Amino acid sequence: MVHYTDEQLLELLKESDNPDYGFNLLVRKHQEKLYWHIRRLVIDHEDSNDILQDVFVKVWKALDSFRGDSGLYTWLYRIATNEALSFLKKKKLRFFLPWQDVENVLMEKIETDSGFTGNEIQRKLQKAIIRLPEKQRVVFNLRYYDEMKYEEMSKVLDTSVGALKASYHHAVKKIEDYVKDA
Amino acid sequence: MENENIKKELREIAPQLEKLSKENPFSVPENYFDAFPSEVQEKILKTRRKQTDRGFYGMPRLVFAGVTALMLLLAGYFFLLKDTSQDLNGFADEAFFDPQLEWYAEYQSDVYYDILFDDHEELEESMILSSPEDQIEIDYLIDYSLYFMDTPFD
Repeated sequence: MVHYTDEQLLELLKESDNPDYGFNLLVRKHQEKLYWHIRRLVIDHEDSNDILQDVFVKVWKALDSFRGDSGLYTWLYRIATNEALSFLKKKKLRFFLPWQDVENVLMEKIETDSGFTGNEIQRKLQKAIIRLPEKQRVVFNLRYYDEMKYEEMSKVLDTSVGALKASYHHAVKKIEDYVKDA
Repeated sequence: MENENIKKELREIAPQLEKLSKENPFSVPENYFDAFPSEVQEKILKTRRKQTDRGFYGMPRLVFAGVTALMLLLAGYFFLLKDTSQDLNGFADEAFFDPQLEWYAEYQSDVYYDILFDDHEELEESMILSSPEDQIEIDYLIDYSLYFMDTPFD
């Protein structure tokens, strides 16, 4: 498969006679990173699959209005993050759960999900991440797993670099304490 | 480069965490990522179909249903508010339109009282030009009033 840059993909989508082909390439290029980002937030595979589909449908609908100021990559992450967090909020509202209980549901998933193939230390690490406040959780995942620069993260989350560094620092400290104690 | 920065940063904040393996602890069903683009295309096709599946007059079905309901509500509202006095007036005109009655309506307030209290000869002269039918009525009224004039009021 030919590897296109995001700029080339956008050109292909705008000028090609067959935009579906261009969109298919876009999905193939970004699906894995976005999937894992969503999966780390909502834990369940089926939920992640539904959210990722919704993300790409939204992208397809909004492509005409995408101005390219922030770059395709950060725009996709922004949509995926919003969709995943909205999903968790809806889940909380649907079952009248306080955030603490949503945490417990996700922790239970880690214990019982057949799709979790990590060892005991990784299980502890995931539980520690789930216990973080929502924003710290997103920041930690983007930095630790996706290795995203603070400048890019700032565009995704619409937060200053300083605030993101502070969030990451707090998150890492909390996780380390949890993993040590557990 | 960024990878190195992240490692260094993590080492400084939490050295124990830096030692942990970064392996992905989750898995996906086999060939999931190969099949996913087709699933998305299918979902987009469904969305397109929904967008083109428009109801009457190019409106989406739900909007059309809403507009129809609104029109019915407005029609009902105006029907209930309609001024029924016009209908009753029309009914009154129709029901009481009778030349005989019209004649009474026209003359009873003036002619009748004229007959009662005015000079009869003068009145008879003023009515000479009336039609023969009118004349009969006038004669009747004059006789009728003369009868009452003979009857003393209490």
